[in-house]
Amino acid sequence: MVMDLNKCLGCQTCTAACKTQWTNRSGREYMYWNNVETQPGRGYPKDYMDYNAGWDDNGNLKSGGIPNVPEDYGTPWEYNYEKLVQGADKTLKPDVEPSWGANWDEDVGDGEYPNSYHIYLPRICNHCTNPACLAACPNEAIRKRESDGVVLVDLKICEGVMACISSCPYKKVYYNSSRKNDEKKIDGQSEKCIFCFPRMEKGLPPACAKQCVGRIRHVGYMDDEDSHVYKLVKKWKVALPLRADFGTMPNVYYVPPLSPPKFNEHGEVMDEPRIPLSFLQKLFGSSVERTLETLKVEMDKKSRGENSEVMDILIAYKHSDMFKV
Amino acid sequence: MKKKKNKSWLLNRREFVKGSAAVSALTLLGPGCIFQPNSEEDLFVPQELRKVSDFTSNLYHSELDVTMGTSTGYSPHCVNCKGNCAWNTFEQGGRVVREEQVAGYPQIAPGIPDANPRGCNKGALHSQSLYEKDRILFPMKRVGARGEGKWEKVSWDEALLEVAEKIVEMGGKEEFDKMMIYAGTGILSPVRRSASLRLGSLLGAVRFNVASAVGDMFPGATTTYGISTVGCSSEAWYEADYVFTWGINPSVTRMPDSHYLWEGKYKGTRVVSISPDYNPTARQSSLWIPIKPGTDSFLAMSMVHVIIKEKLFDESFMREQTDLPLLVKLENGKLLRESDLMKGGGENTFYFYDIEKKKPVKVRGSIGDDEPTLDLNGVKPALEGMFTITSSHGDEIKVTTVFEMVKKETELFSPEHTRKFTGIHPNIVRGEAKKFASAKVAIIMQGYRMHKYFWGALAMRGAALMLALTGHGGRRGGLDIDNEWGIGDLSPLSAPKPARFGSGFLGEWMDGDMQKSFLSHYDDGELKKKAGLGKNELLQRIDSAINEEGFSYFGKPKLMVLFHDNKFSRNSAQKQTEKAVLDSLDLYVNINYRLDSSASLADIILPSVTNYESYEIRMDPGYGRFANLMIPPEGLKLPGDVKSEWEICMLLCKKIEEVAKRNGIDKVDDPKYMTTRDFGSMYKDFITVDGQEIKNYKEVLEWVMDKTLALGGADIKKAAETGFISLGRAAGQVSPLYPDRPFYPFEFQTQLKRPYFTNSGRQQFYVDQEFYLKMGFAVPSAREPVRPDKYPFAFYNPHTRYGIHTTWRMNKYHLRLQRSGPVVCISPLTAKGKKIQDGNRVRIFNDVGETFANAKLHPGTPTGAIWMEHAWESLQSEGRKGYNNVVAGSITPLEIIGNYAHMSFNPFWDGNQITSESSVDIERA
Repeated sequence: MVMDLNKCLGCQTCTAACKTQWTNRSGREYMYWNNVETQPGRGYPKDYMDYNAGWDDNGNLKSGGIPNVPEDYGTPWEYNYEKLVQGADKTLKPDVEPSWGANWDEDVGDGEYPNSYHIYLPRICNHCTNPACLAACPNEAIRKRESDGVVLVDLKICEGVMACISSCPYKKVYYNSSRKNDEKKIDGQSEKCIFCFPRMEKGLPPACAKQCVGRIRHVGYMDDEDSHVYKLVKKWKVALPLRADFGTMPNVYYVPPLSPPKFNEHGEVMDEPRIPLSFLQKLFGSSVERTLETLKVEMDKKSRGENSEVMDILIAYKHSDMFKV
Repeated sequence: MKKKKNKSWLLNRREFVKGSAAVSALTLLGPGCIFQPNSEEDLFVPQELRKVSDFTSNLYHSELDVTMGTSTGYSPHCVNCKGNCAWNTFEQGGRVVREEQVAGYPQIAPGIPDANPRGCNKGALHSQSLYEKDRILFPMKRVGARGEGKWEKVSWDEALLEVAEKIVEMGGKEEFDKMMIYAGTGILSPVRRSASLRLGSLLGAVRFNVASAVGDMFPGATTTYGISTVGCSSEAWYEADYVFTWGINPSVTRMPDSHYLWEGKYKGTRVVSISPDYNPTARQSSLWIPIKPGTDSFLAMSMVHVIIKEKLFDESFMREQTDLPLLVKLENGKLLRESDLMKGGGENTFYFYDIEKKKPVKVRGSIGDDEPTLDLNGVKPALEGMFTITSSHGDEIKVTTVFEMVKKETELFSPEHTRKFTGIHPNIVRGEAKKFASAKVAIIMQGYRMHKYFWGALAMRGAALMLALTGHGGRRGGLDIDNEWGIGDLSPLSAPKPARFGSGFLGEWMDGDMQKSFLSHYDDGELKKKAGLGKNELLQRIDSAINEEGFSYFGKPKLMVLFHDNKFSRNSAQKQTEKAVLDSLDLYVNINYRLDSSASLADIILPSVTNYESYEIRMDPGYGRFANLMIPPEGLKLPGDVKSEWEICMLLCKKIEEVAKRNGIDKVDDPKYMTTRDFGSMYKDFITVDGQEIKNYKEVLEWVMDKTLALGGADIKKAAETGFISLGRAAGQVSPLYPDRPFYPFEFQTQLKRPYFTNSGRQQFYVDQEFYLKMGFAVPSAREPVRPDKYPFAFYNPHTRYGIHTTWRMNKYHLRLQRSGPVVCISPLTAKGKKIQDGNRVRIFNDVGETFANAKLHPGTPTGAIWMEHAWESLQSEGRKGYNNVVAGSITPLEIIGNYAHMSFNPFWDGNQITSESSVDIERA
């Protein structure tokens, strides 16, 4: 999947679509298989990039760690609707005093007014080529499907060890304490984004992608040279993985964000984007500078009325063309 | 965690990773792998881990099957949203379990992106509101004090009898003007709105102009064009070369459409965003212009200044399409009229000065003229100069042009001068004015937020002037505020008899005694200095508007039947207003699907259907070009004892008829409207529309579709094939809706030379009404914000991502993506000075009241302002003191004249509560 961060509205329609498709029930309520976080920010779960997870330079799994529900993911707080209707309570209140949630840092970012900046970073499981979760599982319960490369937890096998959660540097595997495997007498198993494989098998794109109203998500096969994904990632190199330095070889790629110019101390417009390059390099690696340059060159071509395959793909004249599933 | 088992293939990992450079060079092989080619993945994941058990596959498949339902319906979300999107609704076990955009709209032309998937985060979660525990399932009657929350469940029969008895009692006393039957913006679609409109119309009850009551009027546009339904289809944003998003945040408030902006930007559109805070639209724009809150009129005038000084204007457009060449008398600033030149001459006939013939020529197309055309007929009107004209009785009259008046005003607003108000560097103004003027197609988008400021109407007139000077009209762009499609005449359904149509903003103001907070919050001397009039002068103006100039107000109601309206959460000086309104009411009935802040204060609550549970069609929002159908899934069961609004009104009419007959009341005269109110036949009258019996929403929908030309004869069966209908050419009211081109306003004017809807028949920048002349509003101008200096922070309330007004604000899935309840955004610098940390509970206060929220430190917020998103339910704040509790009642003098041609009380000329001109202080709670 390629996600275009220039078109992302931060609207959370993907999050809502995923929530009703998979995670509004059955012990998954706290999970966001798809989330959109504001960066710079601590992200979801809180500080997930700082767990020392993924692979080290020598090809060994790093130590990792397991986030905690109330502090790092945020409790899926409930409300006193019933008491409100009955008159027992006068105002609507959450049942806990929340200190974190899936979108806690929304719109915050960094920088000093008027040079403040932020981006929206939508995240699903990266369905990595070299998945740390898969390598970490002592029970071989994490599988990567032959047919499409989707990484998922095989619930027939999973014993709820949580090694996958610990090892994933993106923290996109979750522990479901209420999922039971009676056969194995297991109480609690891991679950994660399944790239909506049952939808894909019916010819439907994943819910987050099809329902994305900003039209930022392109889904396709990397070995299909006609797919948007191939063209954006391989041919034009305008989409980059998040934190490639974690070593898992993600299969979700991002078109990095351009930004409106900064102001100098007199309030004049400068010839410099407000998002610092160093911040983007941290997220998307050193080639992000070249990628942004390619985007600008292609935008200029398009605005002069010349052909630009990159811009035509990113514009996405037909929504249905964004998905080759 | 258990210790990891030692797997042989894991040990070899290091080699694979080291070889990854070689990996990417491998030939791409094999059939479909969604991501990397299998050959590449196989290097890292052994074959035995590439199979998934049937157990797991089947588990997720069966979950998907449940969410896809056993029957499927269609639905848009018919709230006060300009979205209007086709959704599928999926029913399982009698309930809607999920929804998903249909995403089947056709592409209108190869070079223009299609409109799919259309539908946002709110639509995607409505199914999760349907069965939440705040859903009202049964009629409820208050047994404690108002707002105490003590209810008893009652039968429909019992509830409706009580309401009917009150209606008949009041009807018997001819107290029609004390009955309010009013549907708010929770249902803005023709089928579901028709029930309350029809009931109110038969009874002669009062209703407010809904757009004005919620503050969604555009008087600045009406002043200029005579109407305010002015705008583009969102495809035009893609096509345009230059777009201002000014006081509008489409990435938040126009989610289904905003992709056209960002796809346009990829194509070369310059998108310039103007707002005080760095909002999500600013983030995506080509340039963000940070402006001090409420100073937009200065920015507009400084742009106009540059356009004029640098002669970036388009004279032929100005001559043909605008009033800029009209003649103005120097002695009193009035337009030269036929009545000045000859005895018995027309009051609405105006003049140009013909450069070639050197004499005045009558303007064609004004409302005083017989020829409905803007065609200049070979005349070349002077735009500049002073002339002396001799009347038929020999008087010499010195005149100049409107353009000269505009130029003179513009002198005051050089970008160097306006900088001290706006904070914007002059180079930015000059640079953007040039780019804007030279753009082939330019659009200025302004949102509803603009008119929440005292001088919003001036800012909009200034923006319209920028467009007019540079010839951006018709196919070259224009003002984009609120296009609406024409849906034909539904009055036999919604208005069988004359009803009492009241001014929205003045009705809310008067009913809520809002002058109290206005008087306490503003200082007389300060207001005189900033606005040019004192507090009492403004209140006298309001009096004149109501008593002399035709804004209708019927006095405080005794009975209020509210359908899906959240006035008690919405209104300024919330606690004071709430008390004033409730104190006047004998009986207050709220019809709703959920317990919102207003329902919680009612005497009787009646449970209604909501989206997905009704038949409906949403047609008029003009960003999209499709009418979307609501058809419930076949297996759907309504929860509890919920009824449709049509059925509720129908049953109420039956009760009214019974009670009236019992009391010997039949027809009661309503002489003011020269009609009778027929209590004895209320039921029959309600269900008989155009001679046809209509008893449910499906039949209402059939009737509506039959009457709507733009649907091209499509019926429900046809519509049910796709869930939507492409609107036909006739849907366009000021331009044709072409099937294959974006819609721009006023092509009938620019191409066909039809007049605008103003008294001059032209885009009007000169208003020679007495009060406007006195105040200096005759031409577009600029004024400084009136918020009092006594508190340090401007307070304003932008639109949220998570609701349309208060609808969905209490949905837990939305709240979990926020910080669980109301937050206030403050600059980190402000916070430091006030010793406030992120997440601290803070009190926001002024002399109007107080409200509480959690502080959110937001680097995109300026130091001089703090802001809270609008439309938090007051139920979500301590003591039910919502964000509006610190907003003083306020009305701008620009919107309360009512005796000037197109600026006379009508659905396009009504005003707004001014809600962004209060100032506050903040402290840790």
